[in-house]
Amino acid sequence: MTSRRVPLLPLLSSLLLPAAVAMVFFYAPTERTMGVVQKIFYFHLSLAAVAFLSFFVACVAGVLYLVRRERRWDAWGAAGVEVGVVFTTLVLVTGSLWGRPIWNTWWTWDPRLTTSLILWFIYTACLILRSAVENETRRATYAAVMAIAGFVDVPVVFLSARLFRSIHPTVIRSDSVGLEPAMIVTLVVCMAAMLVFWAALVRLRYGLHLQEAVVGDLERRLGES
Amino acid sequence: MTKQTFVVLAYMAIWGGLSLYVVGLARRQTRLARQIQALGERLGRGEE
Repeated sequence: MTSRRVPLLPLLSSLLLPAAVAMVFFYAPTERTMGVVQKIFYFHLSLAAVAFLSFFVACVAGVLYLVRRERRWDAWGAAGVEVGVVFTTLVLVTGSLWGRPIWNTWWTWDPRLTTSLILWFIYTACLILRSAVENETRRATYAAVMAIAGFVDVPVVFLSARLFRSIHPTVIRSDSVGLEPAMIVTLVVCMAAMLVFWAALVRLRYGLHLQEAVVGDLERRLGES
Repeated sequence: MTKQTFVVLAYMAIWGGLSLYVVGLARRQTRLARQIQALGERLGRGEE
């Protein structure tokens, strides 16, 4: 008897993501000051949250790789960094598209924006490093160290709008959430949908990294024989 | 450009970007599966 694995995460995200988009446009009220452009916020924040989570995964996987030297931790690290860079890119793009009509500029050297851009540069460098080093052990070690060191910027990005003078809004504060109840519900649904989709992507990228390693092993064995 | 245009552009960027990434991953998966099969066959022939 053969058992077929149900792709639960892709299936769930294909249901949740359209529902989240529908909620943004048909359920959440239009914000009074910013108008319809505020609807970018729901996915902008969700993308940022899962990008941070990606880098957290990469950091933890980096630590575990350095301690245990197991290939699977390098694979989780690679998956975390790559997916994190994709999501951070989208955060920067959507932020710029949100900022243009509200701040009247595509980009400003605000602490939140600058630290986010630095984060993107750090982990993009990590991706470049992965493709530049031939030796598998060395590549995994360097990438692990960089993923751990780069994670220092994540709390800096998070706190930048709170600690420094910033024009970037801080919606979720320690004492309150500056949103209407319907907006909070929409945000929670968007975050849940993006989280499920992110988990599916990271799982897929992890599997690909293991496949790449298998190709490397087979090529080595062919070279030896 | 109106505010609506920015919203449309942002959502196009999100779904376009994510779709491209998913398609890229799927293509990589197909290529790797083919590579593994081909290398496995070559190794099998070599061992015979």
